[in-house]
Amino acid sequence: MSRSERDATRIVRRWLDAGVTALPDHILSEVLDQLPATPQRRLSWPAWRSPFMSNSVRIVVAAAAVVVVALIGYQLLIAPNVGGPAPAPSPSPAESQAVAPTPSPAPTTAAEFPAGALSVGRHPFTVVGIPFTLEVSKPGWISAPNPDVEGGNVRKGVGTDSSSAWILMWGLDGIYADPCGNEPAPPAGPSVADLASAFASIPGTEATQPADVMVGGLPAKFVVVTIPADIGCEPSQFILWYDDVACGPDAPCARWASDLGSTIRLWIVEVNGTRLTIEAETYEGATAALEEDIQQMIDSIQFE
Amino acid sequence: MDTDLVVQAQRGDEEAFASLAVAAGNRLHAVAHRILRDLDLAEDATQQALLNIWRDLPQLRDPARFEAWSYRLLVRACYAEARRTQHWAPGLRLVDADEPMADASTTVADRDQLERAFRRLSVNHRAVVVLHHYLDMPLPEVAHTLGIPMGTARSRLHYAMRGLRAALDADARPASREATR
Repeated sequence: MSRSERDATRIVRRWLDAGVTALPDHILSEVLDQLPATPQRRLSWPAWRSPFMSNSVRIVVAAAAVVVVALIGYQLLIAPNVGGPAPAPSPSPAESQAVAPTPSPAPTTAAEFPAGALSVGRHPFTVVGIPFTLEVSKPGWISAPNPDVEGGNVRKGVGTDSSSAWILMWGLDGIYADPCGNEPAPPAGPSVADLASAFASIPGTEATQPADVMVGGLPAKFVVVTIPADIGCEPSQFILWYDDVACGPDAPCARWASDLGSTIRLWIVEVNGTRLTIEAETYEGATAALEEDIQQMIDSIQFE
Repeated sequence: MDTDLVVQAQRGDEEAFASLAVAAGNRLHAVAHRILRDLDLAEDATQQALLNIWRDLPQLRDPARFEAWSYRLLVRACYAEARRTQHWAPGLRLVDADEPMADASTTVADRDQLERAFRRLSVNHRAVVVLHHYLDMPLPEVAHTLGIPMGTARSRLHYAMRGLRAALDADARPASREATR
């Protein structure tokens, strides 16, 4: 005779109620003994870091802040007496050079990736030496270069809630064979298909098979990777893929999972022999409008 | 939960954290044991979870959410422990001699069937069952705690309970057949 659902639930609940509940004292003692050697992780405001933010990026950000302060001082104290054009509304380190008393003629790669809020309209980007433009159709997107990877990110929101999104643009080389163990796999093969296949095979993730798409009128591959809830370590310790340029001592520039349950769409395209990866990450509950906004931006890409 | 203690611990006060750990240790261990079905694994997972709680406590934005947040870190520690030890082949587990019996109406046969069926579930499914049926957490809160969509939590619970119920039915069937012969 089959038991009713209610009977089965009752039996399961009673079964779960049985068993130990008390944590042995020695476990608690071991935990408390380890506290002094376990530093707390504190985040500076805002409580969010770029998924591939490195020390050098922090230095650039700090430098930009100093330049902004200097610009304000310059405007208040000197500019009224000198005249001349107003500075750009969203100063970046490179833009600041244009209004400084002794401008440097040599723009950096970071200068070719916009910094600051992106107005609605078409904007130029250069990523791993590939120049292109992209149309922003809705407000709220903020752009930040990352000189380490000759690319950067365009984001909306500041966290991992359903209204936030990150679009990262860089040149990726490979994946992590053991994402929780910080163990990179050898670089993927040289083709777009090689890298797309690697993205679809990261242990502990769920991914679609690479699909053929077009980006900027060029053939490209498209893969969707999702971060499940049971990755086995903290998201910030779950390393997904890397750009084989040094971001630290013996460490490639890598990117970790921003949050459990996030969805990362990857477009891989080759332009004049150089491979470019654009990845867009959204979080649980992301609206269709946000997904469409991102897709529109990708569809609007025009390579020069 | 005393939110003042949480705030003090967030600022690095080890004594405040010790008070929190004493208060939370038993309930975390109870949940870990029910998910992992192994005392040693549960102790390791609870220990790791408590250390992770201490480490990440400054990142908890709402101290009033400490309890739910601590379950989230505990379940992650259970995932990690399960993956680390790879002890997940279905198998028969002997009931510990000092374990209290649940209820006279939950028969030994029921418990053995449930034990076997529960061990066949993934940790994902076990976590949903334990949070919902042991902690009495409403499904939306289970989903939030585990960081999964509500529909996923519902389907995991449905799948898990279907398996457990089938195990109980399988146990009941031979007896029924015996009775009809």
